[in-house]
Amino acid sequence: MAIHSLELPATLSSLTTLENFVRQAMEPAVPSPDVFRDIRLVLEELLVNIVFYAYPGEGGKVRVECSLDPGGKLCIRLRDWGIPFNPLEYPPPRLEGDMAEREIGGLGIHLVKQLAHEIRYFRQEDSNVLTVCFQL
Amino acid sequence: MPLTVTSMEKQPGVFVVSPYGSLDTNTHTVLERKIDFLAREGAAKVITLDMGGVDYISSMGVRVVLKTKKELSRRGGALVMMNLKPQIKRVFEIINALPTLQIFSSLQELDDYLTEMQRQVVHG
Repeated sequence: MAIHSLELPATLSSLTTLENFVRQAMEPAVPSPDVFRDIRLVLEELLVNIVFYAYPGEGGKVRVECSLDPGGKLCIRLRDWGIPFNPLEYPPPRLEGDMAEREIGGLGIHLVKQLAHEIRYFRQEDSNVLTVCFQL
Repeated sequence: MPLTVTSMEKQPGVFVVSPYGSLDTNTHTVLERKIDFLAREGAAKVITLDMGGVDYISSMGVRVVLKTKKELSRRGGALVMMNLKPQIKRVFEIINALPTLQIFSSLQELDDYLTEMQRQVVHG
């Protein structure tokens, strides 16, 4: 199983490069537009989290690894060297009640949890390692 | 994909705002600025977001919608949406926002809604 990897600056402008990298790593598999849109959304939300939560107010880097198994399962692993942040422990947004009264926040992580088919987090030495998988 | 936003004043203070493109982390400020401008310069009370041209939305885009809804409600106005593509609807569905958002399927429905609002204003 081929593993593709790439290191990027942890900035919002890295998003396009990240998307293109994952798109290439999927080949020759061709996910449906719906699955690809979910993958794109998850990548965006995860990068935003790294930029704002792992490296608040400072720069950093992100390492991406992608693997596609013969069964068509795509796993994307994002590693950063920022402050420890486990998005899976982040409290879910308050979804009940009138939206006008809701706190605006935590929506991105909630979307990731709902859209990724599998999600795992661990802290390894001085890095956050988050893996999301999709069945293509 | 970039985002362009056009707007049209249907009645005084009542605007149809049409974003076109991708409403995401890198583009949401385009919509935010347009809405701020309409609120400030056009005294917008009711904004209809015609989402027919939006094919992608991320949480940053959702935040703009929720924030606008909150601000308009506070001023006694309203935010309504129309023409959501299935993938956009799904994102709002996941965050459970659909029950509190007013969504219309046509301009006719919107016009009926606006007429009703107008009637309520006139007749208290």
